[in-house]
Amino acid sequence: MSPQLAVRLNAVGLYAIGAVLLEAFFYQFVFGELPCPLCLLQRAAFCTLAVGPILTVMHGPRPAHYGLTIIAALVGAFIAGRQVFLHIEPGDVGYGSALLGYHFYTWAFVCFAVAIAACAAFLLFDRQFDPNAGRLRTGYFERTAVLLVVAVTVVNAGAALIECGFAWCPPDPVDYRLLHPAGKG
Amino acid sequence: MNFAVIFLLLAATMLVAGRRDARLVYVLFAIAMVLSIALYFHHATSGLPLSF
Repeated sequence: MSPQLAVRLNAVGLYAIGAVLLEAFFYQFVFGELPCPLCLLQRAAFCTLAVGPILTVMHGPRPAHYGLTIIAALVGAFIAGRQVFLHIEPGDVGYGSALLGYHFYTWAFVCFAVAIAACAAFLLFDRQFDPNAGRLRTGYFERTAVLLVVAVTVVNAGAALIECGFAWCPPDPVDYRLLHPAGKG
Repeated sequence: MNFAVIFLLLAATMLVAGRRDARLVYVLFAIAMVLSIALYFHHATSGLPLSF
């Protein structure tokens, strides 16, 4: 795998992360499903997952970048796994909607596992780490991917602030605290 | 507010990653990880319905 191909594929990974976060926004704003604290942590883990690919896209492939991604994916998988276990009992309807029969925390666990497997697969290709590969080209495709993920992360910050207000986030949120303060409907 | 801080910290990490300061990226990444894990332990208080 050439360094340029690795950069391009990491940009594709950033688009995938952006798509996951945008899909979460879709369910939040269109269907009114407020994310719970563990859901927000999984979103944060997806954002953390993007740091390694951004480094690769902007500065070229290095094993350490994949290491960061694996660490972020392990933490995300742990959080998603806990939420899976919370709803594992027969008869438990789970939290939020299901997509293709699985709740979003289950899909999140699958995504984090896929990210770990993808990093392991990428690390098999040594040629991308060639220091004499020359200057890499970062085009519109790659820069747009970075901007997309940064923008979605900033919007997540605003949405989390509006949902939780300036206090701890409730375990089962039902309303946006900053928009509808307690006692004012 | 805690989650907003984490997301803003992650956005800052990404922006720094766009520059050539890898050490600062690793520091910010580590801070975001520690904060996320701390928030996890604050919120993950319910007992799991499991027995091994």
